[in-house]
Amino acid sequence: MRHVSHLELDRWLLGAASGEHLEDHLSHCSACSEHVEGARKRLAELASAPLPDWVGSLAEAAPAREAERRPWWPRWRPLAPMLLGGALLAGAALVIQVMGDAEDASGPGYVASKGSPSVGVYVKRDERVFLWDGMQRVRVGDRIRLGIAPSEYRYVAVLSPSAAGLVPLYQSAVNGALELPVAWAIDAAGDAERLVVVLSQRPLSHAELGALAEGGPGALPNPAEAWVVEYVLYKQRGIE
Amino acid sequence: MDELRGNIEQCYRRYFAMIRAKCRRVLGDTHEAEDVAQETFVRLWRDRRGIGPDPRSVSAWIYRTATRLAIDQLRSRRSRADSPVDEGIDHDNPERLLGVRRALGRVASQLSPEELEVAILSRIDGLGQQEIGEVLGRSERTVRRVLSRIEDRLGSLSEAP
Repeated sequence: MRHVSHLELDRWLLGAASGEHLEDHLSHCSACSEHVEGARKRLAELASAPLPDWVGSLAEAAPAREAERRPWWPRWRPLAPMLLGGALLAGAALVIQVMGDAEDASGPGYVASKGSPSVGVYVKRDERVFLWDGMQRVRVGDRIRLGIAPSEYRYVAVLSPSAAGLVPLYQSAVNGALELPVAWAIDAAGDAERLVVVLSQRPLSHAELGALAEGGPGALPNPAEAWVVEYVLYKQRGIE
Repeated sequence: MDELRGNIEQCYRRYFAMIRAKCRRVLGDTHEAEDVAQETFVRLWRDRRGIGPDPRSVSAWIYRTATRLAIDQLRSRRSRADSPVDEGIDHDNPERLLGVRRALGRVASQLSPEELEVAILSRIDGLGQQEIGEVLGRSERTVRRVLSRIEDRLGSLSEAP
């Protein structure tokens, strides 16, 4: 039997290969399906593992020009909670399905080591949900949803920094790993969307959240009280 | 706060497992593979704007760069006259992969870098001629010619996967 190449299988796992003939092949080929299962397991392990120091140091080494703030107005349009029925419920089921895959492979999804929170940014495009890779451009109409492993932190806030100030998108107490019950749609305005996730030990004021979004945990008197991560999702324009 | 940190983390969580698995297939040695995988990821992040956001472009770039860096490692290993224990074979046919890897190690000095790239992509990663052409930016005809040259000089190494 002619096997599928590792490249094609990897692309399929990334959601970048047509699936029909591959799924047919995988149902008959134990070697290729073992490769896929192994790759899924490794992806799930990596999703829940603490971020190595050398990866974090890449951010510190990034050219300053990349860290320049780009002025844009808030474009996040909160959708109705995805726990509602109909089409949105179907969307929620898709997101949950993706997280369920990770769970099958290596225990509960979004379980990170103590002291090392993690955030998964999921993009729902048409009927497909995939883990955003930090580089892919999002498209108008995509919906963004977050899965969060808060570790020891007890509160989560999702914010959208803008020229007009900080727009809170979601705030809640948390107790363990969760997928947020809201999603946000990408609209056509602006070149990119920025999203700040703050995890904290206590409820934070708007001013404190603003300081954290601007300056990171060091903006608090006790930096250990908060963990902050920011995402910049650039938008696809026309055919790229 | 460095606002790129989140993007880097997402990129790492999506691609690094694939990069590391690819390096392990070629090198066998877990520690060497980890080093080469880290270097590949660092370059991926550094060059991301030129690579583009399409996962197909990203994966082709990863296969090309990881292969070239692994070849550097293989050549460095040969110059040190050491041969790490093969390990890290987790999901492929272990005997076949081990055989191909050892055969490539033996003949590496007789192959040009281009031939070694094609041999690794073909015999270890199982890529077809069209895929190799896409990854290396060569025509299928060129790839076919290189594969034929390798076969003539060195035999089949092992059956393709």
